Amino acid sequence: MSVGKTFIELKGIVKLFPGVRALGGVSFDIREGEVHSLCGENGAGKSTLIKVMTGAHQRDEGQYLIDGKEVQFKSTQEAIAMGVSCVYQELSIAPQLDVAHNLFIGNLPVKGGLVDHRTLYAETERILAELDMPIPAKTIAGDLSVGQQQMIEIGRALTRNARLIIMDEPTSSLSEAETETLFQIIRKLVAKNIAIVYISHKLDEVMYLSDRITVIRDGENIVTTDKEATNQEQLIANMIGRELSNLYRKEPAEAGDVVLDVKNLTRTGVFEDISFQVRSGEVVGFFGLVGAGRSEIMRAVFGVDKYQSGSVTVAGQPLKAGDPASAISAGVGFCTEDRKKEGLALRLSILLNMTLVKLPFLSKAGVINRRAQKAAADEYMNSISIKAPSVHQLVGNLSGGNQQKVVVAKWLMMGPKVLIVDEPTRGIDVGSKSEIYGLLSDLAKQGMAIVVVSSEIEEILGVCDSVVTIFEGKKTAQLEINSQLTREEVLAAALGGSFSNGAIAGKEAIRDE
Amino acid sequence: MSEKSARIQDNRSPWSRFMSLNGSAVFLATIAVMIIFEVYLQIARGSGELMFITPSNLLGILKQQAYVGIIAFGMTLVMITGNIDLSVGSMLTMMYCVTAWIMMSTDNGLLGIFGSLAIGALCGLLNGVLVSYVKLNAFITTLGTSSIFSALALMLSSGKVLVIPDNCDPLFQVMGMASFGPLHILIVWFVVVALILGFVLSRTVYGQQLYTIGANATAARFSGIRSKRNTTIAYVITGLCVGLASVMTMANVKSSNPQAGSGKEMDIILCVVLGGVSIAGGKGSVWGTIIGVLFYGVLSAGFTQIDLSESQKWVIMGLIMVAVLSFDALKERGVKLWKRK
Repeated sequence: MSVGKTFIELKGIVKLFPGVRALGGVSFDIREGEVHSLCGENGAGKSTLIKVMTGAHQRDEGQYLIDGKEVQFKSTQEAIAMGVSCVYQELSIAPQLDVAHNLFIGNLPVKGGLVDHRTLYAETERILAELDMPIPAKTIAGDLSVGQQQMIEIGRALTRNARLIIMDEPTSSLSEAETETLFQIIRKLVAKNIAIVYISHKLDEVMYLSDRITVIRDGENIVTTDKEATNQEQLIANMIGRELSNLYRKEPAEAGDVVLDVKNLTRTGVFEDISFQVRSGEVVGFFGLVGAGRSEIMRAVFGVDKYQSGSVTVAGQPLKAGDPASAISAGVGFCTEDRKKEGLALRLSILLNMTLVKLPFLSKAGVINRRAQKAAADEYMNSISIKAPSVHQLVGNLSGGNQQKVVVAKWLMMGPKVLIVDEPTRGIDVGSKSEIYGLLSDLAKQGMAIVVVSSEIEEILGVCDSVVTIFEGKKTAQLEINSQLTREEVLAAALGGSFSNGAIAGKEAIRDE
Repeated sequence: MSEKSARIQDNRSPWSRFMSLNGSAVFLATIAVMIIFEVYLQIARGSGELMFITPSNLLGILKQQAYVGIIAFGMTLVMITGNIDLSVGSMLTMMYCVTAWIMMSTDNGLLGIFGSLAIGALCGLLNGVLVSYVKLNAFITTLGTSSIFSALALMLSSGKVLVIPDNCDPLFQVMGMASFGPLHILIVWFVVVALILGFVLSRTVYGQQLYTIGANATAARFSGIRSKRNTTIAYVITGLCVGLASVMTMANVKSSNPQAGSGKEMDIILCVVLGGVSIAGGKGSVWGTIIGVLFYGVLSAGFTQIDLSESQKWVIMGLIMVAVLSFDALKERGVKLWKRK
């Protein structure tokens, strides 16, 4: 690919937040028609850098040049007008409006003071064709798949004549086929001399797409290289600042008595006749297609969902159905999949979020012993190294990885007998992933019974002692994990055993819903 | 160790740290408004002595607004859970009638006090159960119960002013007539309720759980917090506050007008919101609400003292409230209103 001319240049960008130096002099440049990936752990400063580029944040120091001229965006609108658009991780689709209105939201073509519907729909057809989307312009956006909605977001940038499109974790909610389409679109955009800044934790994607790659760490840029001059191992080493010898760590732990005993659990229409046991020191994985009912089973075990029949017993003590408080007092902890929705109150402090479950035990007659509360929180801040200026910081100001650690701390603090973790590493960088795997191994060794729900087969094979496969709400197998067990066997079981080994194209099949 | 680094990194000036506290903007506004009234009164009819900012005037304001404040403290709890109680005005009207009726028919102070508290708590329980267990929208529910309470007030009083005899049970009279030196008992009630509910919110498990319910109800559920029960208790506490407000006011003025409390819910909610409680829940404190009540009390007393008409008073009151709320909202979003040089 020919080298385009430099279009955007950031020099020594510094961004300060109260108590935090988010960016400490980052330099970054983008050429026309290139895919430039931005890699770094959660909290490294990627999001902040993007927000500075799009005008959502104002830099405190440094230069921001577009076509050699310094710019000072006060809002994202100003940046969009200069050709800098961003497709965010969280979609901003108006689900009640049709595709055309979503594409041109805030930017409707106008004729004589009225909306020019003819141009609107003609332009929409043109952009949809450009995006390879064979859907009518009047489709209601809420009826589209997540992948299609993401395409609309990209289309939106096109309606504004973007010269740079920033994509923040664009594939995190896409199926394999949709991801492939996205890559084709990116190629097309690049051919039209549009630059792409691509942010992803999936390094194989980064290596596949990029022309150049920049790694940032702790708010400083570490290196910018051509793709050809680097490899995944080196990227990881640069991201975490050390060699990562082994992502998965699983030390053998001695399995003791049965702690969690689930018998014939049934929730009509969701899952049926699920039985399994977890011993102390044992890590049991739950694997299956998205929508197979893995998370739903765990929700029922924990008591946030009701079930029609069956029983859940923890260390001999039967749990009351549909009552999380009963599960918690019996010693069950549950790190859910969606930490922002189910795990944390973002507007409250780390202190309160972390001690929420433990609070009744840090108090006497309902009155909190604040010294004990603070001490408990500080202990976990250190022991699982949460990066924040103090426990009084609001959780919403933390990076994703640190937020996840707050959720983990919340449950560890109560000293659970059973810990259920649902997709513990989704959207988390490699460094934090490795820490979480190590933590799970340590906890099992201390005698905790652990259930890991995951859609990543490597993760299951890497950290669990055995795996329960779920297919359409039914348990299809429980396989012991040892050196003989292959991915294909697990996959076959998770697909209801109806596929032969050779027919499975790896985890790609699993990712497709 | 983290404590230490936190201190090093928190390099904000004392001013900006003060301004980030709950309701600090309103606190400054209260002082500014007091000074403005003083200056105005001095210019209009200056006597060389302080006229507005005097201990007796300020204590008078506090005494006058004590009942609003007490209900506002209860409302603070409800609003922190992300709910609201629009029925407190009508509930207060009804409770005036209930208290007066008990005293007129029994002349038993104990019965008057505890009967009123109990019926107030029952009204709160009704709201709480409907909102938490029947899962009705708090706005609509309490609007509905509000009209029930108004109607009951009219039925109890037959639309007439109820008067408690001046020589009623002294135990009842103490509730609104006693004073401790310069402190009238109404102010003492205000302080006592503020201390109790302030402690409940900031120091107890129950209080801290209320914040979580308001900030993220789902996360609260996943953390084993019994949101329904806790929210219902917040409504019951508000009902108790209304009951107390009724007892102390009736003991003080001894007559109930069947319209007396109507519309008060708006004043109360304004005090709470001015004090920094978020309509969305999860944020606020009793300390903030105290400031909201002071601001509201100073304004309404000041306007009366400078002889503004009722309509002029409300126009200015509205403008100031919108201004203060905008200021707080902008601060919340991190917008700098002026640039530091």
